[in-house]
Amino acid sequence: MSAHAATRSSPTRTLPARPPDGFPFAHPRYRWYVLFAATGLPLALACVLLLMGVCALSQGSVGWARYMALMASPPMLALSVATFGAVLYFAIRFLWVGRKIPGVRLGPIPAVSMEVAGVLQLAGFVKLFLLIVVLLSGWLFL
Amino acid sequence: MKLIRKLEPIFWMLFGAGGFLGSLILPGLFFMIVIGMPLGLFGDPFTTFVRMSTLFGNPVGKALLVAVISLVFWHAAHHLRHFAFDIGLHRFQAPLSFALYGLALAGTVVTFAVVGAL
Repeated sequence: MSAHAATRSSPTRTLPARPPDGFPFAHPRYRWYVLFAATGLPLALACVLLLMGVCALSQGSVGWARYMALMASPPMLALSVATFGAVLYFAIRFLWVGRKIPGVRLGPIPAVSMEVAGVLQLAGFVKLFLLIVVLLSGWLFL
Repeated sequence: MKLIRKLEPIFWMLFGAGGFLGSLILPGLFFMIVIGMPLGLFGDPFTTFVRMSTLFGNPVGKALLVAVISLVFWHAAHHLRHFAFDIGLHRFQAPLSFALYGLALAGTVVTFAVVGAL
């Protein structure tokens, strides 16, 4: 049998991978992983709340003022702050995991270590966050 | 299920792009539009309306909004699909996959429509 033939899918049924013992709540590592995986829900919610804002923007200044009043109400504010917390957790963990992606080496310059790459990614996140705040706040145009 | 498996590289690409936009751009946009502006931290509603219309009324602003919102929908769908498998929902693989990617597709269509109306 050739090596190529050996890679063909086998008709033998196999069981799906089994989760490790105690998954998903037995160890802090598992719990953090589950929390990260579950951030898919608040991320989608964040996009829905953002879309509502864009929709309000297309309805003119009256629609926008209505959206501002709705979002400033205590229940919506509590929901928004909780969602923002989840989005921040997602962002920090995603970028921290992203430090494992090998960087491009430039000539004789040595590749940065994984920890330095992680710190640089988080610094980039803070810089972009501040840039968006400055752009949308109008402070540049005062 | 064959179709989902065939399209897996595309879903993975959308997942990766959505992850980076969701971690680098979404927190700032969300904080400003959904929390900061309603609290009046950056001016009254009329001032913020004029500023936001100017920033997002042009093609570059619209493209940014469409990219961030729709790709994060795809990221969330892919992430939740694999999370469901992690917690042992393998037997619902086909309905879950179609439901989650279907929602992401619907979200993308709505995003294009809403941002296009700006």
